[in-house]
Amino acid sequence: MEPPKGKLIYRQEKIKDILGDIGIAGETVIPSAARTIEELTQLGVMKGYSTIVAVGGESLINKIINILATQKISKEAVLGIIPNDFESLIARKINVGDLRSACNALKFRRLETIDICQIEPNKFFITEAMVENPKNRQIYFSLDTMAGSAQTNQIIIKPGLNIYMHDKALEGNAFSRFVGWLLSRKEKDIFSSFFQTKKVRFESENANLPIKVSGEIIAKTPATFYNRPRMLKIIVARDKMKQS
Amino acid sequence: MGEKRPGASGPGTVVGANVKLVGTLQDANDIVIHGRIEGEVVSNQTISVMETAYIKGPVSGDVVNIAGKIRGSITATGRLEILPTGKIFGSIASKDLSIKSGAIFVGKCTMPEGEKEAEEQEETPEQPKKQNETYEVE
Repeated sequence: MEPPKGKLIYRQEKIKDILGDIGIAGETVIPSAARTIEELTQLGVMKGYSTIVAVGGESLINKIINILATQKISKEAVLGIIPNDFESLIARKINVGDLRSACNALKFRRLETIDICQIEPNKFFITEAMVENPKNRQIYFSLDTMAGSAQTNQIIIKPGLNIYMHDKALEGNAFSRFVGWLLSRKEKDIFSSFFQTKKVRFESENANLPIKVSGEIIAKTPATFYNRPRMLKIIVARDKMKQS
Repeated sequence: MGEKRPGASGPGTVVGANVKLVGTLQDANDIVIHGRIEGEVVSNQTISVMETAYIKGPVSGDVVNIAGKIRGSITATGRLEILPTGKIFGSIASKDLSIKSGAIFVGKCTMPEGEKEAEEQEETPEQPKKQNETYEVE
């Protein structure tokens, strides 16, 4: 979700000021009805810019990654990120806590080569995708050497193709959960699954379930996910490098 | 399935109680199974077959702990432990075996290194006791 236009312009000016203060110069472009994010990214690539800085939410960042990955230039180009929300997964991934630290990260230009996840045919993401349903559904999936099915209401797919499947309904009803809480009894979670693979396909029975990244629907089941290892260079804050 | 992740902590693969799998489940890390599997389960590390689990097929790992039901052979290069709720219908092979009271095991058991040791002992004839070469004279 992007902030309102007035706030966006104010924020943009603020970013320009901070970047100017720390000595970073570059061309600034804003998507409009005439020029989409994808077109602007393509234009930047054609102009030969080696670094593209995305200012916005994960939806915008993923659109830029889509262009970089589909044009097979993701290994050459470097992606800098100034997130809208510093509590978001993307902010945590690059380890920035505020606007100034995000701008400083661009200045120090510490690069990290990361895995990205692809949803066939051409959707990419770098944090996590979620398939969620209020009710349990029978989900069919196939991994590298096996096929399976699960009753689940939540599937989380992360780069590296780490797959978490959870079934909330089998944890018990509200009453049994309340009794458990009252008696401080912690039930062992036997309904969660975790797999790591290179390719996975999900299908659901009688419905096409939405696949969301940062709350935005980017695909629907049936869908095939691939891990694209070390596909993208991103700029991360210095602390991130110390951690890893 | 998963490659061994450097510094990975906890299980590599967890199969939930509501999951059914067909095929080969292979992981370089630990595998924990609560659900149903028809096929082979292979790990270089620990395989834990929990109470709710049912496996129809061979299981092969370094350490294998069984609290669920298995129809198939089990090979543990390290330790094999059958817990009180464990049920095994098939052959087992391990050099370090523990079967708890209450467990069900129907099948053949081989202990490769134990057998080797026993055979070696049978093959080497008992050395006759050496007689003292010196006589003690009172």
